[in-house]
Amino acid sequence: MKTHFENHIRNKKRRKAYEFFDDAFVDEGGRGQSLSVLFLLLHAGDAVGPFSSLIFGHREEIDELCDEWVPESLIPPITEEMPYEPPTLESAAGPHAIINGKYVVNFASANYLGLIGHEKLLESNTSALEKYGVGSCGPRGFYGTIDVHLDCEARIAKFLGTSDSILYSYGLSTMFSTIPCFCKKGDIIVVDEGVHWGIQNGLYLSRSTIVYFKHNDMESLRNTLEKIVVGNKRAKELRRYIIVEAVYQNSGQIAPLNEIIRLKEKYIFRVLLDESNSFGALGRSGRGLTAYHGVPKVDIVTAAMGHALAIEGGFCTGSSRVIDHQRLSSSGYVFSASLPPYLACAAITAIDVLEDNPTLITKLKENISVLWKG
Amino acid sequence: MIKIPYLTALSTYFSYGLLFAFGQFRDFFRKIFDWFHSSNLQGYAPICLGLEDFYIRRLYLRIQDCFGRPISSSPDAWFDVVERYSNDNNKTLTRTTKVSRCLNLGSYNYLGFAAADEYCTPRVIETLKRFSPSTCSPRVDGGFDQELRHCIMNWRSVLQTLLGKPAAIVFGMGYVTNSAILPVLIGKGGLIISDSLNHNSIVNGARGSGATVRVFQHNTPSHLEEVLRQQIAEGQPRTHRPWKKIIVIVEGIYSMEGELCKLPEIVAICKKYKAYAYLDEAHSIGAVGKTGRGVCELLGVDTADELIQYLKYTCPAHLYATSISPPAAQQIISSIKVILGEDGSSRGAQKLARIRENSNFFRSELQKMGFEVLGDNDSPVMPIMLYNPAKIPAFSRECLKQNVAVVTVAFPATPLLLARARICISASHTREDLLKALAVISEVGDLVGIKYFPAESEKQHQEPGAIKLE
Repeated sequence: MKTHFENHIRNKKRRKAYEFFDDAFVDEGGRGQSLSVLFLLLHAGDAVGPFSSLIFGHREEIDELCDEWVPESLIPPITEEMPYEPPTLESAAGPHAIINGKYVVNFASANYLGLIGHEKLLESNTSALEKYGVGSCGPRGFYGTIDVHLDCEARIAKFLGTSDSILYSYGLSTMFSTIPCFCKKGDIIVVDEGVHWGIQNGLYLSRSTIVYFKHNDMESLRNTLEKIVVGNKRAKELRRYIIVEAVYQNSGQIAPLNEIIRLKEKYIFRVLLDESNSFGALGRSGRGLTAYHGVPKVDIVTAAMGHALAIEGGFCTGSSRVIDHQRLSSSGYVFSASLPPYLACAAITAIDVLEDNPTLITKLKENISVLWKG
Repeated sequence: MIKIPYLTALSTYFSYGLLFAFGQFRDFFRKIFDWFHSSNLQGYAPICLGLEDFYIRRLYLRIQDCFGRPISSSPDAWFDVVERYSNDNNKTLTRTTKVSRCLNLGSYNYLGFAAADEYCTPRVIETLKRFSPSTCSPRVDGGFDQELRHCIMNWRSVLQTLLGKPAAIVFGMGYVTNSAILPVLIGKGGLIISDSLNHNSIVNGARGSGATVRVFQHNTPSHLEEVLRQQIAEGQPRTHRPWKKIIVIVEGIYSMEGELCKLPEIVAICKKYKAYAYLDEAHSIGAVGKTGRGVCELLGVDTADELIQYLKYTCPAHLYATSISPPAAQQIISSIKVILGEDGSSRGAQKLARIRENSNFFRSELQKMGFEVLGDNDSPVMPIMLYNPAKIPAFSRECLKQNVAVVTVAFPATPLLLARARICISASHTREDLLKALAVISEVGDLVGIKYFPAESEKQHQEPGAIKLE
């Protein structure tokens, strides 16, 4: 479809070329020709970008183009289903809740351990609110680091047995800040097809080479890794990552971590594991998938705390090198206000409750098996 | 535009050059030492190659104690800064149990709601007890509190009176708001024109959307017009098809410059060329404007109800992420009510008047002392130029010794030569606090040498002298 734009631009290019040739060959004598060579050298850039002359010489044409241009509307037309309002929660989102005035059994909230409404959590929250107020009023680098943040990070690291951890102020931003921090342009990432939106956004922002393998299919993963590494010398010098979720948010399947670790060690890839739905639900005392499978530590583990721990925010844990790197290069950590201090206090209390009551996990497992049998 | 004096620019370049040279020197010796020790990478490529984190290892770590200072109280006008010490030349810092009570000139506490407030805090605690700290699910799946809905309905009417906008949508985190809305509003085939000094969340959102991004000179409407005209005329890169839509993104207050954006001119240009204007009021809402309406008080911006409906339906941060924490939402509602005066007192209006008074007083006093202060009048953010990298830790540490906590910013948050100390004034600062801060900053400024302009008091002393001579 030839638009006015395309015609105009084609004509412009032709005119420019003719002008140049006129200068070069129609002039008499060598002086004309050397002048045209000089013209060519000086305006070599113009041949590639003929539009600079548009600005200076053809204001009326640009005005015309600007008047003619019609943008699309900012949003597509509203369809029938869009004005749908979600149901209103009228109490805490515990196992029994009141929605739109009715008593219901709540299967929609990710409140795996039933910590919503727990008295110890509420107590620590209240005292934190009275001491620290609600917000932290600054990013971590500029007086937004409150001592409870540092305590919380140490507590998480101790609980999981890693050297250090880092707190993010929002569950979703954890993954989409961590991935671009480690994976730069040119690096290779092998990702499961069924990962959630946060990870997909992080992958897009990282600008690395992304290769997908079939959802939770180890054979497909092995083939993909084989294809990338074998016979590709350059791949050996690049940083290589495998990104999987412990419990997939979209399909509910558990990743076979022992198999993934075996493959990672064979082909030398680093593993980034998202434990949002498994932290607090799997493993000894809720330590997550690594404890569940009994594998050595994974390089980078991230988790959103909005599921089992019943608070907002997220964390990432790993070796000190990994964590220190994030403190200055992770955009969601450096350029954003820190986690509200009352939530950090609640995180510490939640982990204490989790460690002291391993029966919570057993009860969760029993409930899961009851539902499966049915 | 900031114009650096030549001598200062030369000395700054020289300082950075020296630091770079020292850093390379140490890296060279580090390589030699490491040659003898085996690497523990075991075949993995290193997380950071040599030059990628050079700045962090050799420049930033030297002055690490000026950043990330932990506090152990609420970030009010005065707070407790935890003391730290280092045994390995600032590579690692250890907390002590000692704290020092310092004047807070760094937190974004513009209206003073950071500490426990008589109106907000009891309501927040009540909401906490009723709804617990999180809803554990996204808005769409049942995380929508009744109280929150009540709040949002209130908020809608509140925002209507506050800003003249009929609808609102709430996200759990400020950074995510930009990163998630932009990809929904615009995609491939669209054009985003953003101010050169926009915040990282806007840059990420723009990149994540897939649209082409162009930049215009900071706060220069004439350059924006030039860029718009050129882009509309050229069309999309390579194919030259016309753009699907154009969005111009600006911020209300630029947090590193303290400047207000030239909103009337920019919106006029957008209307002329049929582009959409997107305004991020992260630092200006509540802080600027006679009634706290932000930069929009200069010029109203229309937001249709349908836009919000569409966002609710498609925005991924709304569909997949946990909803905002109920106590935080309640804090927002209560503080907006106080600002509007709906709590029955005039504290809101007093706070707004006080922050304006404080900002203007502080800025004018600093300028009289001879500091180079950026930003417009009425803006509570005032950067003081430092330039030289050695002055950054000097200013920060000397102020801390005298119990004033300031924020210093350097590369990469600002251009390499333009390091600065950024002061954020709050409505909870009293006149005595400000005078103490001015005294300390003046003393430290003399010590460190950042009074780049002649002080006004000197000029005043000269005049009577001149008259006497005559």
